[in-house]
Amino acid sequence: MDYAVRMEKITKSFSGVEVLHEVDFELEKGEIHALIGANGAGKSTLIKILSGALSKDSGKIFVYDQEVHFRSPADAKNLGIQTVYQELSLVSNFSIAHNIYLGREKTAYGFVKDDYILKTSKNIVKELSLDVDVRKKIRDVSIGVKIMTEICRCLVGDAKIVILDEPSTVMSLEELKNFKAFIQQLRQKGISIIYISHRLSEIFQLCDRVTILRDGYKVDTLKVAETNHESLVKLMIGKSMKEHLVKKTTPAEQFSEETIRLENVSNAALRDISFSVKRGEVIGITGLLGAGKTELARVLFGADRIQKGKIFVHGKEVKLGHPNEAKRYNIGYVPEDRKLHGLLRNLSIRHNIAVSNLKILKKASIFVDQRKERNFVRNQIESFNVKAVSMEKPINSLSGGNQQKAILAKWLGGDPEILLLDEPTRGIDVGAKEEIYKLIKEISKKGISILIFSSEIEEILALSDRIIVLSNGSISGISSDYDEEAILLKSTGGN
Amino acid sequence: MVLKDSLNKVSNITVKDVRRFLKKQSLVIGFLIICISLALLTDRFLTLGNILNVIRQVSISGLLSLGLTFVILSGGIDLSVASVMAFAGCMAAEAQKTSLFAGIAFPILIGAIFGLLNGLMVNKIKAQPFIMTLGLGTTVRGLTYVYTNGEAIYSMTPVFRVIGGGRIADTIPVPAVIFVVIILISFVILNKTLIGRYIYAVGDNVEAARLSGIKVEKINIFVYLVSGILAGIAAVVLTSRLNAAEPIAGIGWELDAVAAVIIGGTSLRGGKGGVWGTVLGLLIIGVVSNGLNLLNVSTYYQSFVKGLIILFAVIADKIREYERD
Repeated sequence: MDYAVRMEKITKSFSGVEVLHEVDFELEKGEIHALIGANGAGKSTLIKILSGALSKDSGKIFVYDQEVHFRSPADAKNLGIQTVYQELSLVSNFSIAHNIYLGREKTAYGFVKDDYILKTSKNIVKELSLDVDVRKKIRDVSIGVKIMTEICRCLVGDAKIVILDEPSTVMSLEELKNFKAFIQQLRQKGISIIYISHRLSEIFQLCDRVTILRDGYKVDTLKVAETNHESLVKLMIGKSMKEHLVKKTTPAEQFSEETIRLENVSNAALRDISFSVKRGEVIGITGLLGAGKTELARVLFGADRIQKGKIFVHGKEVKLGHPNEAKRYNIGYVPEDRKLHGLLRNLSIRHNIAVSNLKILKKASIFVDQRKERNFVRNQIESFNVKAVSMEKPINSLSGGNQQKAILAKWLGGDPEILLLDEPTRGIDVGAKEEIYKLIKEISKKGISILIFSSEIEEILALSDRIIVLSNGSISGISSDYDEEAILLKSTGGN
Repeated sequence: MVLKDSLNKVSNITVKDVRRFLKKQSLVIGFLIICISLALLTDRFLTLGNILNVIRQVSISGLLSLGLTFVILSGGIDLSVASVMAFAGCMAAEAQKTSLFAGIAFPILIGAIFGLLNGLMVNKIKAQPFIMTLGLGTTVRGLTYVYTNGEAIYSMTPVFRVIGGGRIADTIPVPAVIFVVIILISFVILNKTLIGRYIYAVGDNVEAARLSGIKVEKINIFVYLVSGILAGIAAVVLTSRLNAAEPIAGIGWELDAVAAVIIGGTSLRGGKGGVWGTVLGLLIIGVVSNGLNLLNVSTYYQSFVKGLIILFAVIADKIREYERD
């Protein structure tokens, strides 16, 4: 067998704590190899060692059967190992072509040869059967195209081995399909790929083999065709996920009192959305990227305006012009992009959890009652099982899953009656996901109406009493017994 | 055994915690080092008279810095403060002719109006506060030249002159008292009130703050209003102290005021820092220039040294940030 990379018995410790224990990893030539594991399993440490960003304590690395010793990321790059990180490094005001050649611009007499860059970029893109105009600016293209641009850039830099660090956490189903075709083309060119992802369904679509890490140990390497979703999860977390995938089944008659109702709600992104939600009901809202999920959530939270239609809360028509007003009607919103819209990153956990609840934590009308505040935050941290050393630490110091729990704690502190969750488990590991699912179920038992906006179909299926499928800004189906196929069909506009 | 344990504890503390403490308190430590060196170098430094003198000297630009602390914490910037102060100073000189109350209230009102204008423009036009407030500042400075025809306004009433030149119990300068009171009020607002929390939240992440139900527009109005009002108060003190309102008063002070805030560790990106930092920043600048005076160093060097302090503060801040990551 030809190997692009072979890592043997890699061990690594940070200040006495072993994070990798004699891990073996083999990447075949032209293979797409998934690397999975819960947060803290050691994926990123292993990848950083392979890309030269960290040094190993012991073990051997072979690249094309030659033993190598990386002293810096540049060493790895020279051997054709390149990494595409989650936070893409593209210049949004430059064209795709100029991004592909960023840092490697062809020049003549000190001037950038735009023609050359444009022409060769066009060729690269065509060779990979990618259907985009390379003159388009990065800020105008979808996330999928951005990632593919990053990969093209690696190719210009003569990459033989490309490491994709969770590239797809924000890709839609359609983009995934294009991406799959793109990756197949890369394979044709003999490029080997290491693919790190939390979304297992993608691994089954894209990858040949999968290596599972847990707590710094390699658990196994399997052919994707010879395993399934269930057993991968079991290997990752060491136990079965079956429990939370059991569909919630509350008989419909148990929901009586209506909390929120929409009638023909429309704006630039939405068309004639009508539905109603009952107390304690969990509604799953799904659809492809651009179908209007986030737009609908933002309208319900007063972050965007509606142009037509009506929204009723407890039977009374309301105007939601600002998040503040939505809050007054006891609507809580956990935004999709945790970093961009959810967190006050540099501020303390206390500040973050308290900030939307200060109205109930004040004294003498303008002052914060700091004792009440601390008690409140402590309470929330405990009941949402946020693992934090101290509430005074910056929220940034928490792991993704705990950040998300802290945001839930913040929004449930004000006792909302209606809770909007936009992609509640995006980018967090399986263990934390499980906890958040449990929390969601507990919350709904308290009589809170929950609307989950998610593109993860398994999640929607596991949690929802009713499912609404959006397509092109309007509802293409509402039902309480959709399965995965039905949802896919409805979201792509089928019948 | 017990002794050994406690010794161990002490040595444990010395290794990590002292370093962390030193890093966290580097500003205070820097300030103390400067003070101790000056006390050793000159015997006039550590006298009550001189210390009060330092506080009085920083008090006027200090008011501008405190106002800017609010604005910068919220993620904005106000470059109009010094010009607003000059214009409000002229208005103070005119108004104090009628009564002491008018001489105080009118310039503060003027400051408030320009602050409000800044806030409204930032909200409505959604332009960069940097260029917006620079534009307003330049306009106001021009207005001041036109109004005064470029000449100073003299002759303040004796009672008005007390604000800038008087001393309580013949020792404590009135401007120093005003300054300390404003410091305390600013501290309480930023640390103890809802609006203070909201200012930090908006400065850290506007969108997250908005989605948390905070009315960002109100916060913007508030911080620029505070900045304007404090420029108005500074105008009263300055005019009274100089016994004149000069149209060229405070040229370049807005940047000095920003420098003090930044030296104090408040981030220009917002959300990080606070009142004590700004006060320390002001005191460091004040003590250094006072020390240079006492040591008979030429004034030409003072700007040079001030620049070095700013550079040093920025580099130190970056190092701290880097080490945290």
